[in-house]
Amino acid sequence: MKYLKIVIVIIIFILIFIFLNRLVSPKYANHLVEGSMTNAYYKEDKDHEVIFLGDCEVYANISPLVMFENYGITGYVRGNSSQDIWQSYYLLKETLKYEKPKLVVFNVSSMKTSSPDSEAYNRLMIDNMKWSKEKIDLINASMTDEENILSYIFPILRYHARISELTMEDFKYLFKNKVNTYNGFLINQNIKPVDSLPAKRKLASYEFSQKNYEYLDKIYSLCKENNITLILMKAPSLYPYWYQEYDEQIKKYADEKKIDYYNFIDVINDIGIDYNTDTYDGGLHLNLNGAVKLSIYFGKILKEKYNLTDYREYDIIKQKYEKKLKEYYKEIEDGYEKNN
Amino acid sequence: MILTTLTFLVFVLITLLIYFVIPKKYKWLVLLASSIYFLFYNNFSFKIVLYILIILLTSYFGGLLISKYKDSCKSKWILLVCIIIILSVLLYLKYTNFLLLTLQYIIRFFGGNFTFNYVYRDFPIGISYYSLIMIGYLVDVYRGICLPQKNILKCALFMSYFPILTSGPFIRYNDEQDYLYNDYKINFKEIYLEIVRILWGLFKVLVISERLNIIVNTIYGDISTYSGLYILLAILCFPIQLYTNFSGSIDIVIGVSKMFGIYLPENFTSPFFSKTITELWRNWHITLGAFLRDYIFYPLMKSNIIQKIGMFFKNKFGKKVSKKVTLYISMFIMWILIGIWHNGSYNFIISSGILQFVYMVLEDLLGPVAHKINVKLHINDQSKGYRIYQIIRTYLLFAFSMIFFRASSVTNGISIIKTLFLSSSFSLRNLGLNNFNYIILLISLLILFIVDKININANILEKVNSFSTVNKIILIGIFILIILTFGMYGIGFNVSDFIYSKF
Repeated sequence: MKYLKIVIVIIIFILIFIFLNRLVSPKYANHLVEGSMTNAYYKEDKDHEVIFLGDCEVYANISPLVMFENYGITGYVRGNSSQDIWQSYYLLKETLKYEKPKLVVFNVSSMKTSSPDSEAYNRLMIDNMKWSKEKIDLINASMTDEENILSYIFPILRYHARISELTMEDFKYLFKNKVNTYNGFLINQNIKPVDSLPAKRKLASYEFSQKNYEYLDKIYSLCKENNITLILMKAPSLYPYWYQEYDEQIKKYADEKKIDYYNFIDVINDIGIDYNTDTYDGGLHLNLNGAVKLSIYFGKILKEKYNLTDYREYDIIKQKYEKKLKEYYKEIEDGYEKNN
Repeated sequence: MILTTLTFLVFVLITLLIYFVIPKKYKWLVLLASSIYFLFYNNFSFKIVLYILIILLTSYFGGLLISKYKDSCKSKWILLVCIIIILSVLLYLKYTNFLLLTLQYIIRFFGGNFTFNYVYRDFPIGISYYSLIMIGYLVDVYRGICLPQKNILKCALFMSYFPILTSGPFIRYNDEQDYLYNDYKINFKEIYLEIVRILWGLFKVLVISERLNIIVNTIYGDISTYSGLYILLAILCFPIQLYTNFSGSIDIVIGVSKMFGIYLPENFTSPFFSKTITELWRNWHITLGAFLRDYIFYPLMKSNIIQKIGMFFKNKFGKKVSKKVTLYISMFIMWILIGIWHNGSYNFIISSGILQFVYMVLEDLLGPVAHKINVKLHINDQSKGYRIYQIIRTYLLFAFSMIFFRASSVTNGISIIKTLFLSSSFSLRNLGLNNFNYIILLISLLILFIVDKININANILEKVNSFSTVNKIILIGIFILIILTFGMYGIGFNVSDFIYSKF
């Protein structure tokens, strides 16, 4: 009886501990919604033909729903703020456990970063990721020097100070996560025209690090093993600068591996991007207008060149996407109303 | 390695596991290995090793030689040489700037021109503790209180026993040798108590002290903005912050040590319930006070020079005055040394030395006068109300002395006192804590008050020991959840600050 009591007491404490861990964790529901992106994928049907991988240049610039609307492409963006290449690799690994797309499009801007960026970005990406071997590997690859894997396992070690700042959101989303994206695309309707850009600086080195090449090789091999076509892209951002030297290295890599590479900076005019109306932060990221233009432009290439299925002809999928598009346009409409 | 970090707890856990699986005769070697690792964890260099070796070899061979020549006057000279060597290392590493600054003051006082450049020296962790501990060991060998340790590695363990390296307490060889080197069988009935003690320490440091630290740092960090009542708040908060931090660390040290079967002396016994400063110091940093009393104060009182001074005053002013004078001279020297030990700067000498000495002399001189006044005014100085008044008075006096302890210099301390008398508005907002944190702080302080009150006449851990196993586990569970949730630890993380800031 005594041992039974002890076991019950310990179980109760473990349950309270789990509850507290969840309570103090940021919910990323209405504030810092970038933290909800990794988790949003789990609520999706896993039947995408194209997976877009990368950082904010992907989730802000490519709208899979627009691609479906125009070409019947089913795509999903697995992108996060400042997503490093090793993070993209492990996210792809995780994705392949759920589905096998025809195409993987990797945005190469993260090739510039060779070491973990900041704890905050790691948290936004990892906090709501499902536990798996990929998550553990991802954490180990991403941690900055100050971080500790224990605080990812037990978020209370990291977020306990939030106990004094809890809001209703923390209780409302205690056991559920809010989806803030549309197939991984985060709508931003603000407009901040390109005013002026910082002067280009001469860098000490333009060489991508060996580590990044290794991860690019891993992404390439993973796609090859799974009969997936890998495509490299560079989103049309004006800043941070995508130097000619960077571009040449990617072109060389793509040629060697015989994979396609699209640098959309070169075709800004063809896409029709107007940096007075199509960016929300002065040329770093496209806003909704710009993202629609890029998605139509890139969708056409994908559709014509890679023999993708037009899923608008499949009723069940069509209905599902129509429902999503309805919600998508409603949010856009609400956003316009709010802004005006 | 800080005592309140997960790294330290994991380190202790690993050491414990190895300690309990290793054969009896090698157990102490596990403690030695851990202590060496701890000693060099953050700081390893040839010089650091050299300093430690000088103190170790001096103590080890000194002990053997003192014992060998115990019946001749050589032993006294050996002891003296050993003390000089150990103190030289300590002075060189920690007090060079203090000595140079003092020299600068003296030269300038006599009209000379001398400005010293600040010297930075890297010193091994715990050196202030084990330098004195090893001097105590040598004196004990000299006095015949203990035999010298013949195994140099065992001597090294006594010197470097890792839990005490960061915050003490002061230990004595004669008290600890049996615990350190003999086999220990784990007592699972007591392990709950040790865990409770460690958790209580963590609670004091992480839940109370760290919160008070925010208030105190905010105010003292900007005395041009905060004045008047704010300064008063900081003055009142700081002693509790210091107490919870220091005694909390000691709770962890004592709890961890008991897990290895090593019993360490208590260092704090509800000091803020003391009715006089003298009583407060009997309950505050007890082992330092006892150490200096046994190794400095009493020998001083018996020294030839003090005896001669005593005789001089006895002949001139009588026995009573002579007793007081010799007592005060010895006390003054001891308190100055306590001040210097805390840190080689004048603000520490004032706070932990001179002011405490002045308080005690005044208590000694004015105590009987106050008693007479009370009798005349029909004030019952044995009443509860009077006791509360004495406790508050003692706390306020101690808090005042601690202004200089917290200040960065004497000048800074004086500036703080000046700003205390400036008028100001007062609000608890903008001191770094929100309402929720103030509530947590108040509840925690209430718990601390109750526990310390109980501890005056009883040992609360003994009461915990009478709990059933289930209740003990519940208590431990509650403590863990409280510390994890309400403790202030880890890196500050303001998610709103970073987003897109790099672009």
